[in-house]
Parts: sequence; C-alpha cells; structure tokens
Amino acid sequence: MNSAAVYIIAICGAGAVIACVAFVWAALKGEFTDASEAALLVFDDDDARRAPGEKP
Amino acid sequence: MSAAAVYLDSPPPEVAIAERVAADESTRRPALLFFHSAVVWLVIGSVFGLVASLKFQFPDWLTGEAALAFGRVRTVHLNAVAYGWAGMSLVGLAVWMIPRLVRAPLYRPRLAVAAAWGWNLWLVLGLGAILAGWTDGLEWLEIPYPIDTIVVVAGGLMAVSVLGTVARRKTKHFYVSVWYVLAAMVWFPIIFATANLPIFGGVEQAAVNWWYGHNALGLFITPLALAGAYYFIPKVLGRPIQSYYLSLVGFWALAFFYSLNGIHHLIGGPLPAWLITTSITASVMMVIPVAATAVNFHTTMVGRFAALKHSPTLRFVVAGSMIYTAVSLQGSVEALRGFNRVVHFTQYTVGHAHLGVYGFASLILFGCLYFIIPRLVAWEWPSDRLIRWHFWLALAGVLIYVVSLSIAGWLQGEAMLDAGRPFMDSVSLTKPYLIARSVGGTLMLAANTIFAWHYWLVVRRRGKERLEPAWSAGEGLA
Repeated sequence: MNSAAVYIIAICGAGAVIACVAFVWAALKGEFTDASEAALLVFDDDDARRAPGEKP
Repeated sequence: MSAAAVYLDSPPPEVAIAERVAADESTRRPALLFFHSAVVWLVIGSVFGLVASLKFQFPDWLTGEAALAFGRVRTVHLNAVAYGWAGMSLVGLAVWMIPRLVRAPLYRPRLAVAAAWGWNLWLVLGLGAILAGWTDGLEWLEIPYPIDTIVVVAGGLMAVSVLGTVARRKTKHFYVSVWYVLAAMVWFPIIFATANLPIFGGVEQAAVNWWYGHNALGLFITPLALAGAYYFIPKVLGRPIQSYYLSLVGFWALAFFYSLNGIHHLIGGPLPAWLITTSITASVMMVIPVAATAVNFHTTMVGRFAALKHSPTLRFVVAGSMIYTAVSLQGSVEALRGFNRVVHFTQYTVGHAHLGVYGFASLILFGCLYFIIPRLVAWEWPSDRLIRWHFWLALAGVLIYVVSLSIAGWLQGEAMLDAGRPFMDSVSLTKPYLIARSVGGTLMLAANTIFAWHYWLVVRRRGKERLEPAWSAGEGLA
C-alpha cells in the first residue's frame, strides 16, 4: 500500500476520533440541549447602533 | 472556568453591555493589526496576480529578472492572497468575534499581537524566498519549511489566546460560529504540520500535497468564513438563524466529510484507486453540509432581501454565501471521474479556485470588515459610493474571471482528449478567454484598491464625522 495513503488515512482517522470525542463531549455537556438558545448569542447592545433601514 | 461564573445565555442588560465593551476593548489592537496587514497583502497579492495574468498576453514582459518570471510571480500571488489576505483577515475576524460570542475578554491579547507580527514575518521571509527562487516546489506549500516554523509558533500563540478565551467563557452554549472557529484552530495546524513533514517523496508527496491544498480551503478558510456569515446574517437582519439545529448539522457534516477531500485532484494518477474513490465520495458527501447551510441562510433571508439595499455587510456576506453554495456544488461535480476527465489540467480548476477564495471567502470577509472596522476605530466609512463601486467591481470581476476560465477549461480539456488534434490547439484556443481573465483580474484589482483606499480613509478617521453609517445618509445602496 502507498505509504502516503497510510499517512492520510491515519491523520484523517485520528481527526475522526477527535471529532467523535468532541461530539460526545459536547452532547454530554448538554450542548445540544436547548441549543436553540445559542442562536440568540449574536445579539447584544451593539445592535441598537444598526443603521436606519438596515433592519427591515 | 468556575461554575459560578457561568450564567444563562441571556445575562442582565447592564452585565451584557459591560462584557461586550470589555470584549471589544480587549480585541481592538490585535484585530486591527491582523486587518491592517491583511489589506496590505490583498493589494500586493492582487498586483502580482494581475501581472501573472497579463504575462499570458505579453509573454516577453518582465522577463529580464528571474524574480519576475511567471512561476515566481504567480506563486507570490497565491501565497499573498491565501495566507496574507484571507488567512490574516479570517484570524482577525475570529479574534474579534470570539470574545463577543463567549462574553469574555480576549485571553492575553499580547499573544495575539505577537502572532500577527510573527505571521507577517513568515510571509515577508517566505515570499522573499519565493522571489529569490527558494521554494519547496509544492502547490500551496511553496514557502520553505524552515521558514514555516515561524507561522507554527505564531499559530500556536494565536491558538493559546483564542482557546484560552473560550475556556473562560460565560455562556452556557457555543454559538455555531464558535464551533467553526475552534475546529479551524485544531484542523489547520494538523494538516499544515503533516504536509510540511520532509518525509514524503514522489507520488506520495503529490498525494499529501493535494490533500493539504484542498483542505487549506476546506478546513481553514471555509469554516472561518462560514463563522462570519453565521454571525453577521442574523445580526444585521435582527433575527436569529432560521434553524439553529440545522446549522449544527452543517458544521458536524463538514467536520466528518471534508478531511478526505483533495486526493481527487490526482484522478488518473498512480495512486491506489480506493484512495481516490474515497476522496470522490467525501467530496460528493459535502453536498450535505453545503445544502444545510444554504437552506438555513436562504430561509433566514426570505422576506428580508430588501435589507440588502441598505446594508453593505449583508450585501457582501449574502453574495459570498450564495457563491459558497455554487462553488461547493461545482466542486462536488468536478470531483466525479467523468467530469474530471475533461477539466483536469485545464484553466477550469483555476476558475474554481478563484470562485472559492475570492467569490466566497473574500466577499464574506469584505462584508465582515464593513461591520467591524467602524466599531474598532470609532469612525464610519466615509463614502457609500466607494462601497458600491467596490461591490460591483468585485462581483463583476470574479464572475468574468470564472465564466471565461470555465469555458476555456472545458474547450481545452476536450481538445487535449482529442488524439487527432495537435496539443498546441488546446493552448491557442484559450487565448480570448485568457484576455477575459485579465479583464476580470483588472476589475478585481480595482475593487481591492478602492477598498484599501477606503480602509485607509476610515482608519485615519478622514472625511466628515458621521453619527450614522454613510449609506443611510445618502440614497442607500443600489
């Protein structure tokens, strides 16, 4: 087998493991529970500075 | 992070204001340094790009100096725009955005400032080396690997600052943009370090090279640009993203499918068939996160497209997001063996790359900067006319460029596949399209120069002092 293929699959495999661990960690931490609350995190007092007409 | 410091995602207003102000204050210096540098690299990279394009029309132009040969000029263009403009402005965006989203000041801002200086040093030495003829000779990895150690250190400092900020967060959840930024901060060092290992040779090197080259776009530029789009579309519209859960589907699907992309650049090459097939499959699977993102952005915008008239941020970001959908689907088709057979080794790929880095990522970045810079320098953009010119020149330029090279690439590929035609036919038939490419490149350079000039005016606080953005004082954007 081509050794570059082995390296790439190994790196991607390690990445997949990291992604799975991150996903499980996030799930266990409750990241996906009531996650739609997070959609509001972009809003702050700075929004009052929005130009007239920017907000339909 | 202590449990006591964490509260629900809706803190009392006075707390939210104090934290937002503290977050902005902490990011001002490093973010501006990244943005100033990025704009300088944008202009330098664009000039080199146009010079490289014009050499197709004037092959005897600038041939007296080896440093100005096509191979070096074009390479400087790629590195200046990919790592200088896109890279530095995306990191600057992350630096500015993360403290706001996690409601915590940037952790050790001096690390981020040092990272910005280190990044610039890397580029100055790296591009100087390329002009002097010293390169690693690999696409997207031309800067010699001893010099690359500088950006590894700079990236490490940056990661400490950003990850340290997230570790001190006062929010219960991560907004989806935070997911994208964190992922890019983990992915990019892994692929960059792996690809720079001086242990590969021959066809193995080609495989690792293209795996890196494609993922530099997909695992660094794409997630950071999408982080910006997910932040600014809801913010400017004043309404949350249509489906927050769908945005998470988009993120995790990208996380699981993108990393095996890249080897499809070597279809037909002497590599294991299963490796190429795996990469093609991963490329097609990318339709899932792209569709999730496109549907989410579109349904958030539905009924509110009139806002594009008034907000330059929204106009650039939405245009960039639409192009993201187009370029990603184009990429999935391009990875299929039947299609790739024709467009491989042609100008088509060049057009695709520009649609990605300029049409998608750069347009989103311009939109982000139109929002961020007035907040960092406490001065509004002086001219709505310059913003309008910037938008239309950039859009027209990239579309002319991509359409002409796509046609040229297809015709070139068909000519190369026709055994009865001489090879030179496949070269000469591209001539008119290469002229169109230079026209598109000229428009993009003009757009970038206008933007850089306007950027200079706003950071120098030139023009009339305004209490509100320029575009709301005039007739509004067309």
